[in-house]
Amino acid sequence: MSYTSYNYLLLFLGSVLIIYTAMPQKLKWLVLLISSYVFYLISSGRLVVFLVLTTAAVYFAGIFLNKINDSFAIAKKGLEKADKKLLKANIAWQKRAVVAVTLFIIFGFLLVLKYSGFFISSAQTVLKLLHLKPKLPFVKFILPLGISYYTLQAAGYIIDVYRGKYRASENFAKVALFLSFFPQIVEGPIGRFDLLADQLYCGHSFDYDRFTQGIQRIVWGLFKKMVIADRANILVSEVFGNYNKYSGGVILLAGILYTVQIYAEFSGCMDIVIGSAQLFGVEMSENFEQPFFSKSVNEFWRRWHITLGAWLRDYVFYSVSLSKPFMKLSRYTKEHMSEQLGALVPASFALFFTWFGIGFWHGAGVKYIIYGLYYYAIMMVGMYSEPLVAKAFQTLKINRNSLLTESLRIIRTTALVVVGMMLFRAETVKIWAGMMVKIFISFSAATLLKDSLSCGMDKHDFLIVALGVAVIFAVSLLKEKGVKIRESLAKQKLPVRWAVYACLALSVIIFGAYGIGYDAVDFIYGQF
Amino acid sequence: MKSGLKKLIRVFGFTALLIALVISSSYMLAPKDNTKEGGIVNPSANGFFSEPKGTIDISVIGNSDAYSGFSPMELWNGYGYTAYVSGEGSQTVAQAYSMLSKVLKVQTPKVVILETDGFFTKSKVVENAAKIVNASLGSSFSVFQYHDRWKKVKIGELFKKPHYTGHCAPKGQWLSNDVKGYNGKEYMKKTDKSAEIPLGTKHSAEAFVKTCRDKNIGVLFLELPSQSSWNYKKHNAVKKYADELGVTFIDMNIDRERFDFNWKTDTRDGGNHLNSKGARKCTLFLGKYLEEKYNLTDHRKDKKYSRWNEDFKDYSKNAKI
Repeated sequence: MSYTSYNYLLLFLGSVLIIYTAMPQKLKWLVLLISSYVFYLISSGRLVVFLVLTTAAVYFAGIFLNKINDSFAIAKKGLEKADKKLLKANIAWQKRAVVAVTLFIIFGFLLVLKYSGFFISSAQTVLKLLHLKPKLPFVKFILPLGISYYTLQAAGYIIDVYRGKYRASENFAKVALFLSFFPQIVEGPIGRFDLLADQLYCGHSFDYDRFTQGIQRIVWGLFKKMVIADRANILVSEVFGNYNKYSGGVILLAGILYTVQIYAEFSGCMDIVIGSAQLFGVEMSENFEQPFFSKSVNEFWRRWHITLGAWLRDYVFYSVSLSKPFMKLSRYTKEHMSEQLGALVPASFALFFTWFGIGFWHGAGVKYIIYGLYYYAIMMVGMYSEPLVAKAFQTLKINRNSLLTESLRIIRTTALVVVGMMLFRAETVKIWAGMMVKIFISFSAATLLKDSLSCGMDKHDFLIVALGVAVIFAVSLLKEKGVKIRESLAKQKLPVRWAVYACLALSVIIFGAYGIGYDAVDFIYGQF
Repeated sequence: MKSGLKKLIRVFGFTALLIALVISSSYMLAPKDNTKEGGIVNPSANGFFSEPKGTIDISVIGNSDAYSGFSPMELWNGYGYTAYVSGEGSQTVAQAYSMLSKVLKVQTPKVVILETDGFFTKSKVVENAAKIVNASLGSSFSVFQYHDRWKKVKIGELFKKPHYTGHCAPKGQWLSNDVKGYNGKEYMKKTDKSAEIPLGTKHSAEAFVKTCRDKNIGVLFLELPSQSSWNYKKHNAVKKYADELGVTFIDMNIDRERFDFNWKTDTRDGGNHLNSKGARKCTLFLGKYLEEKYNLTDHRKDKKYSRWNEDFKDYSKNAKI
């Protein structure tokens, strides 16, 4: 069930909200849990079993960790320091074992269902290189809805409990609701138990302001997805599917439009998700913070898919950074290298795992790994060349913080992101390379206008996308300058407010790319 | 309390504003003519708009089986009844209901025939629900169906009153003289088993029947011959359901010798849809039933209907029977 469908917006969300509002406070969580599972069953059918198993795995592991902690608290009383240390080591080993088994189970589902085809084809390639004639079976499973998201949430929960950030919940329903909450199950944001679970469970009374804000946010998301992203998709899918037919200029335009599409679509989906949750009084984490105002790729990834980046930082980067082998490496580099390199080398080692993780999480294929490593390579170049660059600016007496320099840095970052997005969208790395080559060898500004009108989008479509992008840019610019747009708008007189809201809603109805002549476009990040 | 009332008024106020805008934009963007150039979707199904008001006796609504297998011109020539087929490919019953609403805006048929193949249009419950909402929104507010016309519509056209000029001589029938016979086994093997009509479909069908009854219009469920989309289980399901609703159901897949039907010569695509010859046989057989059961007038000698005779001449030139 797509978040932009009538089924979701009018039938599902509408009826759940009415039932939720009518239910007594104590039973509101039950409405959310049942509706989340109904949503899942409608969308993914029997594959719900993997969600249930993942929930059960982390729930029971959490209970077990609680028991281990409780027994340690009792046993340590009256023990000598040395015995206490010995007991603690033993307990730590037990806890590690519980977490390892749990992570093995939940990531096992993800690896088997999402990556087994990739592993088998990779093994086949290796065996062929060794001149063997392998006959490995072709395996492809249907992916359960949102498995890449709820698995990370589940892993985050159990690791937090292991690290002692909070005590595991003894309430199965609470854990189940945290992992299955219907607005976030398709594309995130990847939630944290300590921020989300109580909000979901406690039940909220109907609040007019929250309700109107939720609806406004949903309509804003629909505008981004249906007016901009789905319309840009017409040219994007045509050019990426048949790039050989088009000149370099059109390919570059398709790359830029795909970047527009994926941003409008993913951030639009987050608006619908956050708006939907708001209707039930649940505040979810933001996943975007004006990423196209970033001055570096590093900054871009702090502003783009924020919850994924934060998850990888907290559970991969820190885990690697604080591991024994890494500490040894860190000590070694500090002793044997310059101060600067001593800090950079271990960081680049830990970052490798993070970026490999980002690439691999996005999809089962070499392309996605290269996608992650593409950003890793850019960051490494940036990190290692920073002293030289700083010196160059100093020598040339150029102010690095001037408006012009900062604007150029933003343009450079956007260009690098567009190249990365093209790799992400192209069917294979080879096709991406072919497209990049064509951009440079067959770019013709003279025929660009004519060529671009032969890819499915007419001048009206371009006009709408351009106006839509201009609106998003203006809103982002204001937000970047610290203007709280919704609060400012709320202070305006009623006719002004209503005119803005009505224009937004009407533009979705009239200019949305839906219905006859348009293919329904699934959410891109919903496929991960 | 005061603040609560104020908020409630605001919600209703804004909703009313939005509905007013949707109605206005629906009016402005709706096609003002029922021709392809006018922007209407499926002009032949919507040709009844340009027939003089209240001149259609029989409205046939359904999917491709309906527009392939029913011939209004043969009915005219044989019985003098005026019929129009408003068929749409893969039409669901929800969409059929929406089509009925459009027909009733300009015509006052005495009989409405609903082709029942659409009872089993393959879709999941969720898809069905979406189609129902989609059809209801589309029929109530045409901006949901015709929103993309903003690209083509001229400013002068926005406030123009509709003026329907499209004329469809075969009255909605898709005329095909192709012959690609069906030589396979008999598909209507008697069984007690029954297919299942989805709940959403029943809901739409009941609304369809109720609307007709409220307006004193006779309703008939009809299944035209189709080897690939029909079977006895479906027959049983529709028969039982039609009995429950008190609607007559004519299944022309059964006892086809009654109207001399021949799968080798009467289908255009190997058994799915009928050609002009098959449509003629089915229509003339149905005409007899309509003559017996309904008090319909023969308009062949009525000067007001002289255009129908011209249309029949046109039809005869094209239909090679």
